[in-house]
Amino acid sequence: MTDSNVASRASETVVSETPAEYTDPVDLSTEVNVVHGVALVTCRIRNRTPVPRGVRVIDRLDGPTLPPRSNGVSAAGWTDSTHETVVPAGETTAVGYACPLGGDATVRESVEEPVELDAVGAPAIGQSEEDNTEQLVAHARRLGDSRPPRDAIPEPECDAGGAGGDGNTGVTADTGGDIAVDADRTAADTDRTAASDDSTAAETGCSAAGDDRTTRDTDSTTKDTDRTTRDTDSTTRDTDSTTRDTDSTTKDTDSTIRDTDRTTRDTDHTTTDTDSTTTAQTPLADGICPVPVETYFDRAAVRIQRAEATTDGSVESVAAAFRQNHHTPVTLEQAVARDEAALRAIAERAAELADRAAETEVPVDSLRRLA
Amino acid sequence: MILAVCGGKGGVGKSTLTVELAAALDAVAVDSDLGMADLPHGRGPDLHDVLAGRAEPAAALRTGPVDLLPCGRSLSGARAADVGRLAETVAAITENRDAVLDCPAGLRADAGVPLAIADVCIVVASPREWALADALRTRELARELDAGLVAVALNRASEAAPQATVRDALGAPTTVVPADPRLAESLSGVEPVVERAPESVAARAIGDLAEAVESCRPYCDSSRE
Repeated sequence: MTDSNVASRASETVVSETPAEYTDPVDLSTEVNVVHGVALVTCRIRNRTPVPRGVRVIDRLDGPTLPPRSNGVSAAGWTDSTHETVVPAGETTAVGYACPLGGDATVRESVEEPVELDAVGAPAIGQSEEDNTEQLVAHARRLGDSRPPRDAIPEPECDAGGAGGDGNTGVTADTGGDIAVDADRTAADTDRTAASDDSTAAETGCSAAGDDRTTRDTDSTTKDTDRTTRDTDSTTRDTDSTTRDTDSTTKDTDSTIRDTDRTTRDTDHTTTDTDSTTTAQTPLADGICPVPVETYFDRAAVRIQRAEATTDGSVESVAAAFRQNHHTPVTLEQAVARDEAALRAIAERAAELADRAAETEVPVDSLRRLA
Repeated sequence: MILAVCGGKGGVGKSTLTVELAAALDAVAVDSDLGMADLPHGRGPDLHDVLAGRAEPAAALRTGPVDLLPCGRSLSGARAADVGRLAETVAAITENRDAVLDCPAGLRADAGVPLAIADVCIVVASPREWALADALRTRELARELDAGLVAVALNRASEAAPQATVRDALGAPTTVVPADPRLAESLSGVEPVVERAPESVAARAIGDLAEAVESCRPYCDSSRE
């Protein structure tokens, strides 16, 4: 805004503050910078009241009022020399504009108060500060629909295993389910291949079967997810351990496949999340279940240890602790509170699952005789 | 506090910096690039599902090296997602948590809505002429949508990056983030660079950006907290 190299000669700053003895509920302070005969005015309107206030300020300088403009259109709230805005409760709003004074004019030759606070009152209808985000979002939506056109969405019969972003979208439940079921029922090698493909796909962030499964899972066809779970549960121990090994080798990629718990528990957890979405049960605090569990425990331990160090520490040790990490006292407290809630929920959930696991009895011998 | 990481051109490193800044701020990274998502994904519901009303925001939240709300990769998912629901989605997960939104390239609704929601933004530019022009357009859009520009990240910079030029053009403090090969792994789900190499130049640059964002906290809308 200002050309600082020339400022010392051509600019002059005048600051006009509300006298200290007044504590008006809404007050105005002004700062004027004159550069090359143009006054650059900054106003700060402070609202000390607990409700939003509509205010009107008027430019009193000699010369045309030049408000900020975008593509030739004056910024919102400006009409000639007048600006109306709403100052939220307890906040300060800044207003700025320019006014060419002509020649070597300085502010002192114009008027004493360059800006007048003309009116303060309740915000007019349609001027509410609370709706601001909604108005901005509505404005943003008018920028243009960015979704892919309907014609670009392929028909559901497309090949589900196709690479790239186009061929995977409309996979039917049956096709997706077959992929899942096949992966579970085939021999160890094929299982490993399928799981690797899954992790590779996730790694590259492309489509492929894993993503289809995600899309399919989150559609209301939760019975497909149940089928996947049942198939995973009923596989032999060999397949389980093979998938387990594959999971540990894909640790560096997809974080949910990287669960250090066993595959069955992972799928169970995913299923229950989907179930809880559709049946509106929330067995966990805030619906958050850390995956992988071990990594989460490590990170929570670090946060809790930091909080412990600050709990009864000396001023020096507490200050040193906050210097070393990115937390502020408030964010650390919030983070540790979240950890406490999540850890208690995990403990409850783990106990419940362990009880259920203890009560199961897979009829291995009977099934072997049948097979 | 909601931070949007934006930048008009694809490939300047918005997603990588989103993940790193989320780690530095202990915030949730939201992949709001609905058409070209690239934050780490996995099984389970994602932002496409949430924006199509098929899942609750909390169900799509994933914890890991960085907590994140990932987005789907399919065209049909992008088609069904209603970007207008992003505001309530982000509000649902930021009751006592900050969020960092990864914005898409371009100047359409999918780029605008995250900026409209955000309190502050960081523009990511790479030191090439075409990237700077797009950064200017994004900066203008951010101003139009009331997302205060906190800082510019001059990403993938080698020596002699035009820091002063960018700062003067965009009107915000500019931090140079050097081209560090470890940053290329941030989107693979491994630990972010700010945690596994906190003394590196790249990590310290990201720390500076995070500090600039933190300094805006007192000025953010108190009703959001």
